[in-house]
Amino acid sequence: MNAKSHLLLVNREARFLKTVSQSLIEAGYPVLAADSKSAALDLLSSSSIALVICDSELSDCDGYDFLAYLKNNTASRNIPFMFLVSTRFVVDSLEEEVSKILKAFDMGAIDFIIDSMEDDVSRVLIKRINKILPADFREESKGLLTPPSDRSDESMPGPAERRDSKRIIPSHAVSVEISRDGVLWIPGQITNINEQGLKMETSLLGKLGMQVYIRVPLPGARYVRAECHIRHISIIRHPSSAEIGVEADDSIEWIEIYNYIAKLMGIVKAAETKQIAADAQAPLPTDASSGIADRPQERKKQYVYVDPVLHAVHDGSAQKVLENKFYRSLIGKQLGNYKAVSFIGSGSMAGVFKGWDVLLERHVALKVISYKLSAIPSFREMFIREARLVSRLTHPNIAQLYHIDQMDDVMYFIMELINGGTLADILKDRNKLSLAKCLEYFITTCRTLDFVSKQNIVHRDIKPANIMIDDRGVLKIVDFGIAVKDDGTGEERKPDGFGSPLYASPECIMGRPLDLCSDIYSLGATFYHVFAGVPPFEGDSDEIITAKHLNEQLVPLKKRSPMVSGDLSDIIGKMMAKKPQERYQSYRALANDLTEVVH
Amino acid sequence: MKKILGIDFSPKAEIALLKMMVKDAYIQYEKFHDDLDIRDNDMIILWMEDRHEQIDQKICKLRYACKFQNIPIILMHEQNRDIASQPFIIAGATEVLSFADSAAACRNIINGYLIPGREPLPEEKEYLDPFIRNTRHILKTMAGIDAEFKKVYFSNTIRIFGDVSGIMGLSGISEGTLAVTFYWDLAKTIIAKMMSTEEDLIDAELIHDGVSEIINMISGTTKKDFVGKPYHFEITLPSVIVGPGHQIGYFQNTTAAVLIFEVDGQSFALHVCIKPKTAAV
Repeated sequence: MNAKSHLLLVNREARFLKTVSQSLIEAGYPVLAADSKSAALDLLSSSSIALVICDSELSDCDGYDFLAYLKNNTASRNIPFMFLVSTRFVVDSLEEEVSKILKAFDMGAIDFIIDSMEDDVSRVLIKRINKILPADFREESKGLLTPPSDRSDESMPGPAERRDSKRIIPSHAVSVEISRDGVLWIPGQITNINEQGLKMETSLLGKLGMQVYIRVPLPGARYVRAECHIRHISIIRHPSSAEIGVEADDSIEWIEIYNYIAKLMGIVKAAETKQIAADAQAPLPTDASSGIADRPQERKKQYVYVDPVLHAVHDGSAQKVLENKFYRSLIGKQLGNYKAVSFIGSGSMAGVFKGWDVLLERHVALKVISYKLSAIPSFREMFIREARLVSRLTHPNIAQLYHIDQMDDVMYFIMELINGGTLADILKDRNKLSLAKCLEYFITTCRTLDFVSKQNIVHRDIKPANIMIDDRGVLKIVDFGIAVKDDGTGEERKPDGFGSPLYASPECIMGRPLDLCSDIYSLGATFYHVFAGVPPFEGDSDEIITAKHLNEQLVPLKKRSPMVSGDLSDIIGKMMAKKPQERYQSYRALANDLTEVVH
Repeated sequence: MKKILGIDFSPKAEIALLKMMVKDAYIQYEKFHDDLDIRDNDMIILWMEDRHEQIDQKICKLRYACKFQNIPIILMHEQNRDIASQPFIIAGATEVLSFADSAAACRNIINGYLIPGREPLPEEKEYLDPFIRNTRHILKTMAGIDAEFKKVYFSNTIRIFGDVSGIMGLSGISEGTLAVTFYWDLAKTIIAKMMSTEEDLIDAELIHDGVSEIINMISGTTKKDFVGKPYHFEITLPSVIVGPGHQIGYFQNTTAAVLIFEVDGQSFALHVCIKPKTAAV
């Protein structure tokens, strides 16, 4: 097999491409065709090219510019370049064309032909190609064009043919992945393997000589991948899968893959015994019609991705699974005047979609309430109450509520869409956060919650995931889903517990009446996490974490993060006092202390 | 009135299904057979007895009969224990539900799938229109075939149910995936015309080359249309895969458009998932 296995025909006229390509193919040459420089470059990047035959004028540039580009590029410099000169050009501006032709030879072109009539072009081309390319090129390339049925014995060379290596046929399915570009990986099952390569059943359809990658998951969640070339291909079990034989390039990666698979199949040890060795040398059982080795039947070939919408399956929460199935059923649908464009995520009480308001023609956040909760009258009331609360909070740092409605039994809010990420997202890459920026966010959140508290509202779920930073850098507090109006009676409570345990106040954990001091504790815990990089209390379970909030002394922020000032550490310490009365009693006082830290 | 086709339901299961039915829905029950006409239905609900044999083949055949239309196929069973739904989803089911689940949950999920699909947003039309135009143009110029664009629907995944598909990764200013998927007969017809040869002579390698070329041309031509726009992308190497039931990722914060085309009564689909990197989340 010649490494450079195609002729690349580049011409802006589709008819020319079709006719000449056909003639060349009939003459036994594999041909790729392009009408422009960009299309030709795409083919050059994806295929082995033995010769470029190019028009003097392409649809997107001059053919000579293309020649210059190729000759200045290390990867394509050595590919022979032949160009076509149109009769019309020659007649119209002979002198100019001759000058261009001479320049083309200076740039590295090896030949040119005059394009008069297409049949003649094909005939002349074939003659010239025969002179330019090695004599065996066409013979070697012919294999490419032979239908699979004619080369049924062209499967991977057997042990007798190649370096005495033993071919191993797995008795059970062994998975491997194959890719053409190293990005999209298609699963496959190995049907046999030897030290030079392997044969696999897969859905990827390649072609002879094509470079592909195979990869195998090794212990330790590590993949090893090796470069290979396709040496055999056929479609089996029409039309559901293909069988591909690949020869691996010599590499440490391939040796690692081979050894691992061989070991996996228990072959290495077994091969030490005479009996197995004899079996390995014996002729392979084959399908008489195809020459393909027998393979275990009914293998699962599809690759399974984890569906984030159904991710809760792995949390073992059947209810959550059904909720997420419900949200998934709404993707790509329209509720009233709002289109559910894409799914953003779900919480305990709602799923959030990026939405589109068809009347006002703007993006919105579409918050669909859990079907289970919205069917319960008390929860329904709670959501309507949330809507009323949030609609009252007109503030630049609070996500606005636009509308509330329902369609059939689906209850939904339409809210301001925040384009950006949450503080929790930003915390994953703390390098993006400067101390000054953190302080700015801290003070802004504090002032916003001051505004909230003046409406007698307690948020009850302040945490990094509920503080968003939009793409203009504006901070927005979101999710007033479990907010309550603090009317001083302490009677109004959310029926099913509290927000995130990592940031919950002791009184919230104990189910006591909440006021702004609870939010101040959660705010302190949130920014403790921001400055220290870890939450104030951690544990393997919610119970352990909440017990620490109740009983364990807080490690001072300064101790966890020496670069913060002692004053800031003290402020957060005071915010997170176990007893509410020992915390700040107003956001104003807190904001004043924070402002002093800044200055 | 929504039209639902219930398949293989026992009388007892029919009664159980009624509890989950939404208003304005009419169920017609039939036994499974190869020539079921399912095109005019808004949903198919397939009943699965305890034994799973042949069920994935039935789902495959039903999905095939949908001809790329977005008709939800719900697989219904009555088992209390968890069953792995992924093989059925891969075969073509849209969702797997159990009578053991709460009736309210199932009703809401069924209702969700019966809500009509949305139309494209103006910004989606801006990048889908060039794909539609170029797909038609390329088939016309390369194979002399008139492809008619029929409709579009949206999904959060690229799930391929054709017999042969070309997949192209997109990167650059925008990133995403483009996939064209055909049933076998149409693929052979198109490729034979592209290669000026007989359909009988189409082998694996010609299929590979033809489908590669189609996805290359669609992506390459459309790429040029997007120069200077936020949708501009670079193309990678096309992969050609055979067989139905491939799923390429799940998308959060973005969506995949499935464009359905028709050629002489045969359908094919182009999946477009494209997301400008600068776009808002």
